[in-house]
Amino acid sequence: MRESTLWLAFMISAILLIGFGAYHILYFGSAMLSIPPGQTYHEKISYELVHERAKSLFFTVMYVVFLAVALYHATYGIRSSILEFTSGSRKGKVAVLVLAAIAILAFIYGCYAVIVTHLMAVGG
Amino acid sequence: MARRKPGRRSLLKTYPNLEGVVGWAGSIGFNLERYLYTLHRVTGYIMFIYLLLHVFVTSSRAFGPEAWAAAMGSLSGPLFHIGEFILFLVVLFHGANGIRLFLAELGLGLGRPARPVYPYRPAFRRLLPKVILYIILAIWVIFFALGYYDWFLLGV
Repeated sequence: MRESTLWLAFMISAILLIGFGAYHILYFGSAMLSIPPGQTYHEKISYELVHERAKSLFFTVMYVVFLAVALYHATYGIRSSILEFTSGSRKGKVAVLVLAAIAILAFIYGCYAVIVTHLMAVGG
Repeated sequence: MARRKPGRRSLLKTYPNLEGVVGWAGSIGFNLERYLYTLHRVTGYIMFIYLLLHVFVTSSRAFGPEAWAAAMGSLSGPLFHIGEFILFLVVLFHGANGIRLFLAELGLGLGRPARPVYPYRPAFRRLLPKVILYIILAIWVIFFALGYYDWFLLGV
């Protein structure tokens, strides 16, 4: 893929992450601006509510997209600094490949957990 | 005859980036934007490590309520609470500075491209990018205060 396309995707992922990140922080981490109101942090992370949220297709899809976007953004960002240090050397290329492998594994594992939880919740 | 590989000293003269991470800490002509750039990268690395741990920990829900309770139980205590707040500051900084960089990428307030005639005037020395920078820093300070109130005084 062309470098300019990767860069554009990086910028788009940054915009998406600001929206996703703000929602995620307000949903789980805020007492003042809690989304939804009336639920404490400890209630939100209780297994019952986690299970309840997992029934929602919206949350399931959002988690997968959020994870993909976050991992892409992070991987591209770290790749930039690796390339800056290594100036296209073989070591640098290997480091980028290892980084990409870590990101792909994290994505697969995260998606597995999200989808399995969704299927468990929907199935009863 | 094989060409001799250039030494690190001569490479550094040609490619100043080869100073590596040390070069991020400071150099001649460093200004606030350069330090924000360094901090942006450092916060980015922290967030990447956190993201991997977060995926690993929250995925425990796929293995039943006991696994979930054990994972959540390992993440409690005052030290974790402080760590969460620091993470909030890291995310906030990276996001706010990222917006600034995004606006700069779009060329907002940088003016039209001009010939580099001495004495050079960097585009970032213009008024609007400076105003954006101070607004971003102000946002960070405001959210720092709000976050502190939220995390430690209200008790999430």
